[in-house]
Amino acid sequence: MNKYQELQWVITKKLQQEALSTLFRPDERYPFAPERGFLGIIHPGNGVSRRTLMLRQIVPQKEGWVNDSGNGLSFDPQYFSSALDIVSNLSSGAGIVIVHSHFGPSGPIKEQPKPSKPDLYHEHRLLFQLTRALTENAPVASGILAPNGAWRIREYHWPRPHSVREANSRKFGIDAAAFNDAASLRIVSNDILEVYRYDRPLRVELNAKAVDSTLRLWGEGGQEILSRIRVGIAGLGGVGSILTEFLARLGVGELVLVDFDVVSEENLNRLVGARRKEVGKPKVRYAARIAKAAATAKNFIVRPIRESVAEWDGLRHLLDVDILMNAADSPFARQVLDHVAYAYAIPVIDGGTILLVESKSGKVIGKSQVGKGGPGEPCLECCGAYTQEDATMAREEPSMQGPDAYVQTDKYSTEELLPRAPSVISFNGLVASLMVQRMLSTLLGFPPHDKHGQQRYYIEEGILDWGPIEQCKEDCPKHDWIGLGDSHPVPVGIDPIWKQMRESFTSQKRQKKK
Amino acid sequence: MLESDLPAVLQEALRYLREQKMSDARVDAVVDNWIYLWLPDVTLDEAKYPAPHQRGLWVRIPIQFPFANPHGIITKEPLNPIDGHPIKGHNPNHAMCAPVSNLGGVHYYSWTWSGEMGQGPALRSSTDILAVVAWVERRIRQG
Repeated sequence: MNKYQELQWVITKKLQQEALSTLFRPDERYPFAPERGFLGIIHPGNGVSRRTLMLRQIVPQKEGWVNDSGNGLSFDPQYFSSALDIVSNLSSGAGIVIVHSHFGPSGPIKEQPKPSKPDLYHEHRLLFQLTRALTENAPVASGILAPNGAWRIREYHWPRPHSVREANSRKFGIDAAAFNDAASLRIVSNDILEVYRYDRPLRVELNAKAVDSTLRLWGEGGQEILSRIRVGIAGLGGVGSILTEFLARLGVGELVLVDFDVVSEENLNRLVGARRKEVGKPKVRYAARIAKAAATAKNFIVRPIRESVAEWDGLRHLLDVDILMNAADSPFARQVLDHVAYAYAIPVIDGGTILLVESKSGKVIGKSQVGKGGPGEPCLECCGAYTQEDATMAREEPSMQGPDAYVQTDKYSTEELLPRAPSVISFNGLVASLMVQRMLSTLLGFPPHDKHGQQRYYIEEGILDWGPIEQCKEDCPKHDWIGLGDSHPVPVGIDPIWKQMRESFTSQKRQKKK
Repeated sequence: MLESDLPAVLQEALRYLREQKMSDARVDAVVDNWIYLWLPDVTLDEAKYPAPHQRGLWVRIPIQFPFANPHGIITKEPLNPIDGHPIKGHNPNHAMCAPVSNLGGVHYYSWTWSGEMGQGPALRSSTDILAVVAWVERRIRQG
């Protein structure tokens, strides 16, 4: 458990409201209100440096199952039994959190409430009993929730005895617990994504001169949000490279960049800031240089990862982020991230362009589109950003794949069209701008408001409009996956293009040795 | 790669297939994102194909099943309908056959889930593996 530098607590806005109404009544005031509690079902999601615990469900309780004895909160064995029943019927990986109300003077939501000594004593004992009734790696945690919505979550881990001797040993006893406090809180909904970092000072030092123009628009509060956020960018081609620079200049505090490709002569016409001498170098390295040079946030961090997001080794890095920008145009990668948006409750803003040229007339047609997947939003698949069949074919080795297309054109027969190099810097800039606007709307409540689904730019007409789909199709299962984390089988595999590239490196190395 | 190393959902699908339909179904090869699943008893339409009407063949199933679709089948003998019409997508000795060519698989049919014969049913859970068998049989029937 301690191999992760950070623990994050994640909850949907809907569950946050349910938790608050379970623990607090509007007419009650401290110190006259009774203490209340509930049991919740949690799932972990493990990235590279961050472990996430996600609340999936509040276990329903009957009258009298949770009692304020005046000397701490007591939970009826029937309530534990009910929670354990739910866990045992779920796929492996699920665990239990014990939550109780925390009255008293409390500051803003970004300030973590502090548990009392009796709270810690009680939860420690309760969880020790509970952990023995769960499978070995099932997570157990305790939490307190303040009326203003602030959380304090602590995950415990006891070593599991495998013999009677061990069971009687102190090394496996109640005091042998290792624990980890959540350093951040993420509340996810279809409108606003809230991220609070308890491991950083309450007030972030801003580079006020460098962000003067945006401070006038969204103030210090908005700028602080940007400086605390960790954004992932998947794909550093035409769109991803522009996104990198935009986000760094806006004052985003941390970027995780994932791409396996190298800068080539052919893409110098669209990789913003790329130098001729960088041809042949990994795109992530060039993009990290651009980001560092452009960053306006103090203590800016960039993590360049040369991997594919369609493979675990690349995806795991993106499970550390708060919001994801997808500029990878492979339907395989897009499908993987669409799953992540729900299972890990990490909003994914996705964008791309298809440009086609009619073979007879030479007329250019196509569209650019930007969508957002995640809790409360229609998924990228239902919006038509990819189909399962596209994602299937992208799993074949490159020689077996057809011409890649970002958007299905329903208006034209593809036989009449000649696909050309589909990337032009002006369209990339447009897509990157719309993606950033969508991110600002998600993080800061910046306009547009109450817009869901895809925003589209129709090239022939020069019109920017919203697509017709505002919710998932009836049989789409993605909203049932919210918060399943590692229990959900994200469809990663082997990225055939990255594999081909790796094999080519290996054979080049061998030849050099010879 | 051993079958026990495959993703849990796919293992579940294989178990279900063996319990419900073909107890002798087996994985003969795993290559990158694909398994070559041997279906020992695929039923061919008697009115359209000569005997034997129960034949074995391999279907390529993605390891990310059911989140990706089957793609292509491989047979030992070519599928020759009684009326003699050529079957679309037939590629004898194609590179796709390589993982099972030592077992006699030499005829690759590059059929896709949403190909010329229309969209296959939406795949949602491990039990939809039975729909794959039905799809193979329907696709062969339609030629």
